[in-house]
Amino acid sequence: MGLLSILRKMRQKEKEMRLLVLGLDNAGKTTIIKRLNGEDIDTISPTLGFNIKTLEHNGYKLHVFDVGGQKSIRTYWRNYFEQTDGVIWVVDSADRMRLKDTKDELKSLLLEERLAGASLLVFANKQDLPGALTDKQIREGLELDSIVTHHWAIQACSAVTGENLLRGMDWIIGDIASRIYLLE
Amino acid sequence: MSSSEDQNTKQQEQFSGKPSKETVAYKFWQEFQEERKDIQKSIDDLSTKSKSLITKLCEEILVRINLLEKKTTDATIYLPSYDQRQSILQIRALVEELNVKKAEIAPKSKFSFKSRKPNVISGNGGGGATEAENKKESNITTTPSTTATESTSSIINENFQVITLNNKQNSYLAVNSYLSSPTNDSTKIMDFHLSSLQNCFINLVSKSITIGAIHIKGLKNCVILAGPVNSSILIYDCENCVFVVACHQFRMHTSKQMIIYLHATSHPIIEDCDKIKFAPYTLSISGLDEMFEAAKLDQKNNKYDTVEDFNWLRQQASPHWNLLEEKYLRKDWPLINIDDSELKNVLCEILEQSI
Repeated sequence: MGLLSILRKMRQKEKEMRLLVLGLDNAGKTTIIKRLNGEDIDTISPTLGFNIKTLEHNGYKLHVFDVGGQKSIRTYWRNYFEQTDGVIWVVDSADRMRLKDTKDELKSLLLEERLAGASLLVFANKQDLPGALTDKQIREGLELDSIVTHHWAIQACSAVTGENLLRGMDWIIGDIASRIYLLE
Repeated sequence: MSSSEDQNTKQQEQFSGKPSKETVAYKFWQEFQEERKDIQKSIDDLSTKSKSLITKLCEEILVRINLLEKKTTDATIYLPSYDQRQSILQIRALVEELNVKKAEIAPKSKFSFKSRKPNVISGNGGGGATEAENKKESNITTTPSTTATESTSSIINENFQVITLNNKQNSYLAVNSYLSSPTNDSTKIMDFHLSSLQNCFINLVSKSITIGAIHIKGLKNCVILAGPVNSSILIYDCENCVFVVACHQFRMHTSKQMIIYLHATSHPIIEDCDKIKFAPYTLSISGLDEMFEAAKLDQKNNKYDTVEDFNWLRQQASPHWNLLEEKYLRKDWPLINIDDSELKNVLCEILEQSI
């Protein structure tokens, strides 16, 4: 192996990121990931365990862990915390009745030591539904402005139409990249 | 993939056999540049237009930019990463330019909360300012049902987009009564939020709407009839009910003694549930095929009988649910208005199956 290929390999390694996609059930986590990956989104069943996808975006290799959101499997989320660079928190913007639940889950998630330093992107998903709250309302509902422990951003989006998904991904990747390069 | 792109791809296939990834990507790139230049021109032309039109024109341009972005998202499958990056940068530049231009021509009035600056990420991590568009906001209840008073028991959005029904007993609730002037425009999408209802018959079947999503919480001794749902149905804390529903995804939590007549194109799931019976969707009305089509549901694909139980991740059948025996299968559903005097009898007759 020549020096160049070793360097290339190291370079490649640098450009890898690990993202965790979490949120309550019915938020649209799997749909977002499949949409980003260009897969069919019409026949997605509720996630029983987890999905792992490797996506390429802006020259970065993203290892995306999409873990089911049902109450009985939320306790397993912690198995995926290690070495996470970014958390994508997905909210069903039309689910007014569980806004408090999603706020509480997010709050307890951010207390997790192993996620310290991870960037947080909140996707206010399902903007295509008539009953969807705006990103501003979600931001208030989740009390995002009180978060000081993590870099965060909120992005209104629709996994069904694909609207603004890339914009959100751009932010979280940029944020992680700037953090990693700062350390070097 | 959008329909126009589908057509383009098809056309190309006719001319040159199966197109390679490169030609598709090249074609996309050309189209992208054309559209981008066109949008750019519209932005440049803004300063020549009259002030009263600016807001409207800006919105139109924004819609086009968003459409372009959507197409780009669709194209990520075959687009080389350099092109992807470039398109994203160029789209961003367009939005930026539009905002600058808009601020130039029509400066924001002070203390205005209506300024539209959508698609801007807000946050503490380096995003810009936040002014979310509030087009969907209206007089909808946002508080949980437990605090609801009589005055908020059923509030309808001005645009007939969200119907919230809560805190009702012994009532016949029909979607048609909430449509002031029934149209045949099935492109109208409505969401339903149902909570804290007892002894109610809820009829959400209407050819003039497509249902976007249904959220259900705390129903007791109720019957729901619903047409095809475009996305998902989410159910919490229900007891002794019969639901007749069709959707892409079906999730039910903390409920018991239910009969679900279901058409679901993905595996339905239950969690913390008991004594649930599943049956195929048996609603039959004229025009149902069109309603299924409008909700983008595949009528041939029904997974009502392959339920996943989150409390039973074993090979053996879950003890919490089973299929309704054929002899109990109900096929005639009362779709016409039910008088108060008859309501109790109708409900009893339908619900007694589940006891």
